[in-house]
Amino acid sequence: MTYPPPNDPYAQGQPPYGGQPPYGAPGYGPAPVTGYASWLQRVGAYLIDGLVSAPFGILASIFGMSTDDVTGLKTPNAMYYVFLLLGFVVSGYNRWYLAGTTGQSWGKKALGIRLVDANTGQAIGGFKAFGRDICHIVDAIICYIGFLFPLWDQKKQTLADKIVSTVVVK
Amino acid sequence: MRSFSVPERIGGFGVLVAGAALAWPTGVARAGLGLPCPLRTMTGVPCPGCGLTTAAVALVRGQVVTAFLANPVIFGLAALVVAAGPLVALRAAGVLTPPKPWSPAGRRRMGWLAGLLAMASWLFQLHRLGVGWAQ
Repeated sequence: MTYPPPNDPYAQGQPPYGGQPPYGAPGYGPAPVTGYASWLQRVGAYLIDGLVSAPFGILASIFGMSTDDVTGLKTPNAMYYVFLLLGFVVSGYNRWYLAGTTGQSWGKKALGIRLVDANTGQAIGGFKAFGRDICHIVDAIICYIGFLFPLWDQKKQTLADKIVSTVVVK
Repeated sequence: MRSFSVPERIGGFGVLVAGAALAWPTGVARAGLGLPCPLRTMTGVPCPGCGLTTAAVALVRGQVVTAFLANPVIFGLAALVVAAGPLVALRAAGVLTPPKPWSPAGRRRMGWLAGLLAMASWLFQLHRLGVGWAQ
C-alpha cells in the first residue's frame, strides 16, 4: 500500500490541513454560472423597473407645466424638474444601487431573476450596474437589436452584458 | 418546462411583433409614438434594422411588396413565426425530439450567416435611404 508523500500539493484527495486545494480539484474557484433568465423574464423586469419611474413623469407633466402669460404656450416650471430629478434618483437607486449590490432591482426581484458577474456569479456593484446601463446605448444604436440578443445568445446576454461581462440568471 | 430552441424563441418574438404591428398605426396616429433609429438620428447613417417597423406593419396588412421594399428581413422573421407553432406542437406531442444545443461549430456557422444577412440588409438600407437625416 502506498501513500502520497506528506504536504504534496498535487496529491489527489483531501488537501493537507491549512493547505491550498490542488489545482483542478472539484470546488476550486467560483462555480460556473448557469441557469440564464429568458428574454421574456428580462423584458418583464425591465418594464416593471420602467413603471417605477413612470409616475414621476406623469406627475411632472401634470403639476410641472404652466401656461406662459405672454405666449400662452405650455412651459415647464420648477416642479417639472423636481419630479424628473426624483424619478432619476428612484430609478438610479433601483437599477444601479439595488441591482448592483443585491443583484435584484424591483423588477428582477418580482420576476425572480438576478444580475450577476458572468465569471464569479457575484453581484456586480453599483458602479458596474451604472456602466452596464450606459452600455445599453450600444444595444439601442443598431435599431434596438442588441436588446434581442438574449433570444439567440448562448448565455442570453445583450451586447451591454457582453461588454461589462454580466449575465442575468434565474 | 423544456427550454425552447432559438428558432422557436425568435418565432415567438415574431408573434409579439405581429401583435404590436397591428396596434402600432393606432398608437402612432393617436399618441404620436415613434421608434426612430438611433444611429440614423445621430449620424444620418441607416442601420441594418431600419425599415423593420414599416415592413412589419405592411406585412400584417398583407402589403407584401411594401414590406419587401422596406426591409426584406421581415420575411425571415415571418417564416419563423409560421414554423414556430407547428414546431412547438410537434415537440409537445413527442413527434419531434426536444431541441439540442448547437455545437460550437454550428453556432459559429450561424453567427457567420447572421453576420452576412446583417451586412446584406445594411447594404440594402444604404441603397434605399442613402446617408442623410430622415426628413
